[in-house]
Amino acid sequence: MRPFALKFVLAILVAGLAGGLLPVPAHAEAEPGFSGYSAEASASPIQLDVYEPTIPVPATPQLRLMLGYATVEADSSLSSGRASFLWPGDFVGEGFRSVIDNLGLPDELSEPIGERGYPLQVNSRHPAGPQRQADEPVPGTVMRTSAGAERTTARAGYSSNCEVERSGEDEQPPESPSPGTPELPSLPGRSESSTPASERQDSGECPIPPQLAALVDVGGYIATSETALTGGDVVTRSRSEVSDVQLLGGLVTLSGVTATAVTGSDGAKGKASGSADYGRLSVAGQTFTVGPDGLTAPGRKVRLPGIPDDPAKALERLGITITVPRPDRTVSGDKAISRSEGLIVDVDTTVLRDWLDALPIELLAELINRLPDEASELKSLLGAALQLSPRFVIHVGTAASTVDTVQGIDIPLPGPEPGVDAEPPTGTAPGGTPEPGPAPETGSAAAPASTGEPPAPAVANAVPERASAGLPPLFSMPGALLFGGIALASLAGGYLRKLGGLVLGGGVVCQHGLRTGLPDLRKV
Amino acid sequence: MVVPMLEVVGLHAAYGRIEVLRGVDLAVPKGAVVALLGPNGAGKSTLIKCISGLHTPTSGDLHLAGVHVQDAGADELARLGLCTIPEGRAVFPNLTVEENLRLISYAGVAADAVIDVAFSYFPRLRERRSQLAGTLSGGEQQMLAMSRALASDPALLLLDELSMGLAPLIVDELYETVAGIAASGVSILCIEQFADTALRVADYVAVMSGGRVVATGEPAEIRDSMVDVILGGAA
Repeated sequence: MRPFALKFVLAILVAGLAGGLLPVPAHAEAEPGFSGYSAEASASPIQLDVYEPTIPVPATPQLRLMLGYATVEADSSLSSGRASFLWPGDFVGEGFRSVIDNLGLPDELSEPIGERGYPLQVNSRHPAGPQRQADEPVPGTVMRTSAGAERTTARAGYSSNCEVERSGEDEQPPESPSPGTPELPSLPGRSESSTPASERQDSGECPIPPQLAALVDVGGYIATSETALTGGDVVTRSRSEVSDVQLLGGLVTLSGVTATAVTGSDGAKGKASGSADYGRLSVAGQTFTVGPDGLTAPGRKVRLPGIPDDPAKALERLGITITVPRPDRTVSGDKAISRSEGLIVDVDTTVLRDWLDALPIELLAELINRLPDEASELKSLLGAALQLSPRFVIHVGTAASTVDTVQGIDIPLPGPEPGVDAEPPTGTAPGGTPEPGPAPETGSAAAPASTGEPPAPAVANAVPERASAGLPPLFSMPGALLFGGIALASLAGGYLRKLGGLVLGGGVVCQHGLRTGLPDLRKV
Repeated sequence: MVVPMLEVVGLHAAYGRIEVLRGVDLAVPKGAVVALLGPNGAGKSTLIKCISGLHTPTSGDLHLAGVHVQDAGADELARLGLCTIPEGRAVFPNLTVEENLRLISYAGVAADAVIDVAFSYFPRLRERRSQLAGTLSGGEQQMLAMSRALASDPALLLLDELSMGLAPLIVDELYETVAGIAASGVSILCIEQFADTALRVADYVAVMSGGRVVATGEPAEIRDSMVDVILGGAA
């Protein structure tokens, strides 16, 4: 081997050894700027609240129905997600067992129903599990949730062409082709579906239940919520999307509403953003455009007789109030809150009650009266139902997210033992050569160990530092004893004075502290 | 801090098992006229009896000029300057006006001084000085009773139903005298059931009902808020 080649090989070897032995800084993984975090996100495209005090439910509103519900909660150690394409509110959804038990059904029927809990939901938890759950009770409906240490998602919705699955911003690729409805693309976790494929194939397109469609009908809706811990930030997203909304049997129609809420925090500063996009609104043929500034009427298809021009007044005549809520974007330090809501439609049926009275309700009442007297309770309930005039509040497109972080606490480490401090940190070898000792932690103790001289300042500084972490100063005890004794003596003296007055003065002590006697009123 | 001439704190009193006063709190500032109003049976007269030493309360405190008074007799309190004009005047009907006045001199005031004070406040009594008290009108009897009380140089005067059975014009005249007495520095606690006239001269008003003082304030406040309850439409 030529000398040049030898030198080259040696240089390579040395470089390789140096690279292997010397500490090379590893790739800087983005460390989060916080010690802990908590995040929440929830989304609901349609939320229907029914306020009717005559309904015997101990909750306000008395009934709640959410078309699409996706919520996630996560913190530094736990996370959970829930998705439901039809969620009856927490009162019924969480307390489903109690609700079933109070219906008075036979135990053979209520037990199996109540044990399963509310059926139209999927839940995920980390680390307890299940980490992932999915279900499609009827074709077109999708419920997905997964929980992990760094990412928790929930997704629910209904769409005839399964847009729910494609709506996710970073949806995982499908794992297996779906054997379900032909229009549906393959869905992840399809094997976990509780609905047999044959049923889904037979049922075809799944509309909103007809009883509910009379009040609320939608073409499709999506609710997604997600928390993720990425790149040193914690980010929370929620999104509600609903299209082709028909309320009150088509009296009110909305072309679409999309609401998003995004929050994030890096431990130092929070961020909140979001948006609410509106489509067109039509009330009884009158078309309005809904925007952040309220309602405007770009054109009029049908002019209703007796309806004033002002769109807000027109709606009020029908008992309908539409509110465009202001978005909430709050950032307080490292905490961020974002809430977007598309529309709030308030339907007061007491106004519509006059119209409903035109219907042949008396015929229904007569039919109810024909029921046998044994079913008197049912008769009274049905009779009362004819007179109900509940108030419906429909929230269209709600998305909310919250994130907050906390910083760690610096716990002071205990100081070195007194005996250790008293000794010099360096020792002397038998041969007189000083041995390097452990470097002291205090600043002034950073004397060079190689000098061989005992670092006396280090010992002097260590003692008062340790003393300050112990009991409170001794001089406070005599003072506390002195003043405590004075207080006790005063208290005892007061009681003795009262006791003496009772014994010697015949019990004429005034409880208000006044002297007892007979004053000459003329000399006052 | 100004010490009130009379202060009643949480006073309870009963007749046998029947509790009449159920924690009365009341204060009469020095030189002020306090009207104590309330319906019949509210406990007003019982309170007067307790203050004047004629009835022993079951509990509570009674302070006179900032001094706790307990178990003092009515005669002791009268000598100290607490004078009561009871309901029904209580004059000697078979004695003349002048004889009634001379009887009050036992309290230590000379008889001539008593007569001079009485006639200066109520000149009408001078005209009736030789008339039997039982033949006087109700208003004149009340004047005689007040004259006896004034003759004892009171510092605290308790008037129980001054207007009972009297014509409104006489009541007005009597209360003008009451206002004059108060102007001389005498503290006055007057009890009334129908008290429109008393409200005109009173500095403060307290309302009793059910053995308790249920409202206190200045006459205008009480007149506005409790006219139906207290005055009962009789004012």
